[in-house]
Amino acid sequence: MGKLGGDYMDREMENTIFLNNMCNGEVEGLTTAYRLYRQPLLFFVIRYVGSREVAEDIVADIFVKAWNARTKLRRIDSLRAYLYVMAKNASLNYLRRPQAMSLEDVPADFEETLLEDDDIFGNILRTELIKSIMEEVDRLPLKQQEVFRYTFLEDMSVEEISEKLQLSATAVYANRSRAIATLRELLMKKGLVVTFSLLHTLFLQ
Amino acid sequence: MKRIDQTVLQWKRYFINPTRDRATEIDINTFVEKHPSLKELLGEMENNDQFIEAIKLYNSLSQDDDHMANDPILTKILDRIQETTEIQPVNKMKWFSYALAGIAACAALVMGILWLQPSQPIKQPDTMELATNILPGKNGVRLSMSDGWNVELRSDEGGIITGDQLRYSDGSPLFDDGTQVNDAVMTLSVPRGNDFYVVLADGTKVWMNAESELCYPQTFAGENRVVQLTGEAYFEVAKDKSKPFIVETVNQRIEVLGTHFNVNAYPTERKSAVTLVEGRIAVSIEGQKERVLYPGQQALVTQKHLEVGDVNVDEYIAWKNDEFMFNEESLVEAANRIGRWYDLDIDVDPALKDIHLWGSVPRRENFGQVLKLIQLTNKNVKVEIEGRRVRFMK
Repeated sequence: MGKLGGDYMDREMENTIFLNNMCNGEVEGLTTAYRLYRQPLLFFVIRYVGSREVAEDIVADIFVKAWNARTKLRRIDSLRAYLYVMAKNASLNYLRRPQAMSLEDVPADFEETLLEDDDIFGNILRTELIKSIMEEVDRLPLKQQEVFRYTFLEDMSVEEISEKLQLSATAVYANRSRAIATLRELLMKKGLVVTFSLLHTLFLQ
Repeated sequence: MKRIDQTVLQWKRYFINPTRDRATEIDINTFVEKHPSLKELLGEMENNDQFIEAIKLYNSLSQDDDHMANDPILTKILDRIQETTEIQPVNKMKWFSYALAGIAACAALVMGILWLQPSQPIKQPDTMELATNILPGKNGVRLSMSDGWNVELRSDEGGIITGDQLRYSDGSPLFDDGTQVNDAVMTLSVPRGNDFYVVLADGTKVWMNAESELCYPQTFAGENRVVQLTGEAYFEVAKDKSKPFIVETVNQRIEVLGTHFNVNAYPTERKSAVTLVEGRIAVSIEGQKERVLYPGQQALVTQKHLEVGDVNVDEYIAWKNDEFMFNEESLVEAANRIGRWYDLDIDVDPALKDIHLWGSVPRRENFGQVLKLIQLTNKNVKVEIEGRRVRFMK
């Protein structure tokens, strides 16, 4: 709990700092935003346009637009929602379909609008779900991480993995099931963090 | 996004945990009923292969921090924002305060020169003399009450305090003969050329600018504290969480709990603005969802459009501190404010529409000081004064 809670606070702090930097026109703030959202946004856009190359162009456009609207994006949730909505609009634009919503002004929280647009909501949920599962994988001990990646992402057999990692087949199996067990455990602990973040939200808003 | 984050967490736990709990399952299914597009996602997740394909795609898009510096997308973004930043000043706030300091220094210097040679920049010395004699007004603040009383207030006091007894700010009663007023609706009218303040029954302080009217009850009964404003006023609302304070203007509604803000809503102007100094407020206009303002932000209403942006608050509350502050304000717009304060009809030649004013002047001073500032900005502005009519020409 302590460690996870600490991570959570660190992240909040990091968010506040980079948003502030971005609002003040400092490019480092934008670079941080890019580092955080590049991967999920590419994934999100590819889902619509089907091409990585097109998605890269669209993502570049979105960040330029976010930079121009930066003074209105003071909260991490506004930024995230803004990026997703822009990403969907740009994708539909590319596909020459009418845009979902107008973005002339940027409300403090898009949440309600997002929940009304089923399609964007589903795609955000898909993206964030995968993003957060991969973040959990990154927290695993190194051996478990490797086994997990080779097994699920690179379709390697137990034999291939045991050869690559110089482990016995039993050890590979053990690490794989341990990886899954650790993931589960991490998620249970995360329940506490959520309660904590809820309290945090309630008291600050 | 809180809702999305919670859903993400719930779904993630549900899929990773082998002992699925029934309650979560029902919860997820109900949610999917409401959001049909999630059915697809749910199906995808139930089908391991599809889900793993998605994870593989996601993973293939990763970029480690070492390579981030050379990322072509990032390079493209940075190139493009650099182009735009060169045109726009990055930090307008900072830039403005430096500029203001610079201007103050220049103004002090030029004012000194002006003092020594008063006739030089102003071509018609008699105009300056006329201008020096124009001062903000002193009289005409009226308080009318729903039960028929209508009194002209003593301006030298500057303010009144609402209560069972109506008093001036020095404590002296409004009515010498001890007239009692109860549960009345008050209308405080401040004419052009004047300002005034009132402390409402709940302790809220309202500073009113020239040509403004505030309508408020003598006591706040009911669930809300509601007042109506035409013109401009600065509010310091007394905290009372159980009774929201609401300011209504012709086209907007401002709801607060306890905070400091300025409202500028003159029916004769095409824009009206609410500027927040402290706390938090919600601004709404008819037919649109309310917008929450944070300190340093302004809600600007033009026609039927509400827009929220960051501003330099000092500019908008300068009047309350007895100052005129101009930050690149067009002469035409500034003329409205100045005219209202000195009770002048100011006419600006359309040829001067590109002239913008900079700097600040104390507004208790005579009109001549304002003229000097205008001529500092642009020497070619000529002035003609005839009674209360003023013309700015090229």
